[in-house]
Amino acid sequence: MKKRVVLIMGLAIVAVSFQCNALTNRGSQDVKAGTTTEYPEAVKKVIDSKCLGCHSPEGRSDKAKEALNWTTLMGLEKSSQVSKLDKVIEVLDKGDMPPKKMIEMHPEAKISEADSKILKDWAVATSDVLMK
Amino acid sequence: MKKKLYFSLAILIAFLIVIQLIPSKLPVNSVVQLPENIQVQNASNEVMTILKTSCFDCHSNQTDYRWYSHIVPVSWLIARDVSKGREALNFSEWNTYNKRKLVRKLEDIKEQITKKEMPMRIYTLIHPGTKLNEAQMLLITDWTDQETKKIMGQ
Ligand code: HEC
Ligand code: HEC
Repeated sequence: MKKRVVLIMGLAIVAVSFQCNALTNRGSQDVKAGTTTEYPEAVKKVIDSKCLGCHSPEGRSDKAKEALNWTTLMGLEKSSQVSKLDKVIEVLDKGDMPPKKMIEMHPEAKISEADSKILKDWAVATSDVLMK
Repeated sequence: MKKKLYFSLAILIAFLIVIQLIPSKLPVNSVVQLPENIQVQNASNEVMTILKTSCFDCHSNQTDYRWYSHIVPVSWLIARDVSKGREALNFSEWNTYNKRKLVRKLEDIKEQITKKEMPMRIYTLIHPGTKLNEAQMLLITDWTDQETKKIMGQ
């Protein structure tokens, strides 16, 4: 009798952990796909085409991933969001991103002035709202 | 054998003297603002003392250059650290930072302190009493936390 209970409980635990696994797997697949759906359409377009290749979990440079990850940015603490947005604004102002080396090899990687303004205006407005 | 050694020494000394002629470009200090006048917003006296003692040499326009700071090649290293340091964070300009930048710098300071990255190790080795102890670290991170909350309106 007792054995059976233990067996059933064991099965239940296995089943539950299976579900959990499936869930976390799905989560990581989402991240893999690089979800930037929380950004306004125009902003998302710029991020996806000009920044996401390096600043997402699939990026090849650890430095870039550590410095900024667009797929998790909006889940950070508010003050950390502001802090990252300030960095984004600074690199856009200085024309530091995408990196010069990248642009030398792939001139099409450069961000246009119009796109840079879209991203910057959004970053300024968003951090203003966060600091209210 | 001995002659050779003396000769090499002479060459080395001559070399060291000659390179002194190369300018080292130590970042200049501001003449207007004395260290006592830098007031970091809402920082208590204790916090100000820590910042002055352990950070101002690289993160303000009031670097206390010692005699060896002017000797090449040491001066090159110091010039680089001070100019990079001032660019990354400058308490002399703290009151000109906008709210967004303040939030960012406060977070950066907290991170550097808790990871024990700052003050730079080479600096604390040469300057006794500049390494932060646990109590000092706590004072700084309490200040960054409170200041961040204030700015974030929380
Ligand atoms: C080719 C890869 C690549 C692309 C594309 C790219 N970055 Fe970066 N980014 C990096 C790397 C590498 C670093 C880390 C630099 C370092 O630590 O020295 C970085 C760092 C940053 C930082 C942190 C800077 C700091 O001072 O901490 C920001 C902000 C940033 N990138 C924003 C952007 C934005 C915005 C875009 C799109 C317009 C972009 N990046 C596109 C590679 C890239
Ligand atoms: C010997 C010089 C020196 C001293 C002393 C020093 N720093 Fe720095 N600090 C630097 C340099 C150089 C950099 C720039 C590093 C870089 O660009 O890679 C820096 C960078 C920083 C940054 C920016 C890090 C980032 O992520 O961009 C912060 C914040 C900082 N220091 C805080 C402090 C604090 C707080 C103290 C005192 C407790 C301190 N530092 C003492 C030289 C110094």
